[in-house]
Amino acid sequence: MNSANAVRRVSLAKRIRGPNARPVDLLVERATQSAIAVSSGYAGFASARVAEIGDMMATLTPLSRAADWQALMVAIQDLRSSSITCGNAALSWIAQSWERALDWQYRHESRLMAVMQLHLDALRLAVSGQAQDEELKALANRLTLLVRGLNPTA
Amino acid sequence: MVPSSVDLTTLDILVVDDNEFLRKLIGAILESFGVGSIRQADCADAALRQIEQQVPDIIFSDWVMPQSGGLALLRALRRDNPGKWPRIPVIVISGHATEDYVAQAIGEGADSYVVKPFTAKTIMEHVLKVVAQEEEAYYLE
Repeated sequence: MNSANAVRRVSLAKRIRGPNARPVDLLVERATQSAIAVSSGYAGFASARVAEIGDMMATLTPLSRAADWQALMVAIQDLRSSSITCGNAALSWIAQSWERALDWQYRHESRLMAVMQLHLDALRLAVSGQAQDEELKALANRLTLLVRGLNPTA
Repeated sequence: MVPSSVDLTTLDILVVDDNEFLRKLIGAILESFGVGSIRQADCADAALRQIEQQVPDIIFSDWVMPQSGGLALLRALRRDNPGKWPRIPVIVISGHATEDYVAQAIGEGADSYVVKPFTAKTIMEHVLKVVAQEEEAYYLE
């Protein structure tokens, strides 16, 4: 056994039965309130993230390196998963539609760049606070139909 | 059996996510649970540097990260450095819910898999799950 193992002789299960034990339900309720408070600041983060995606798009072409396309994909996936976690469903719908459009085999499809630009515009609208969720939902649905035109399996 | 009360004040949890906002969110949840030490890293390489300094009790790790992701972290912990560290429970957090991703993560040695979006309740459930799994393994040693 190495020294690190020796330090861990007390099991986690035993350690969590310590003297400061609090009801799980109480801790979850407290953490839920804390998560709501943190999530309320998500709009600023999302705006910065959409601006970064806009910067990536400004230099991206169908001939860009695979790494540049991958970086864009990761940024959009990140926006989708963080926005849904923080309660911003509209951003998530649009990002999800864009993610489906980025199937690599369609990168040379002539309409892809235009479809991507529409998604970027929709993200900018979503973070501007100028549109209601219902309008953004309808917009996301229209974008999804466009993506299906590029990628029937999306 | 799931405990009705817990004391997480002695736990040291490492949160690995390239998304600063999600690190902040998970950190706030863990802090509200009373976790004693919450550390953060933005990629697998940064996480491994932290693990070299001090071995955490539990790791929450995003799966897809631009620099080095959850797969690289799990391989470094489970495959590439056997015996270097004690077995640290790893809970993967991912925006991908498909079986392929889950199977790969579990196959590489993840102890649990959380699909985004998650809630504070989900995070607690997964902490208690890996604690219970660790206890079973502990008594089998």
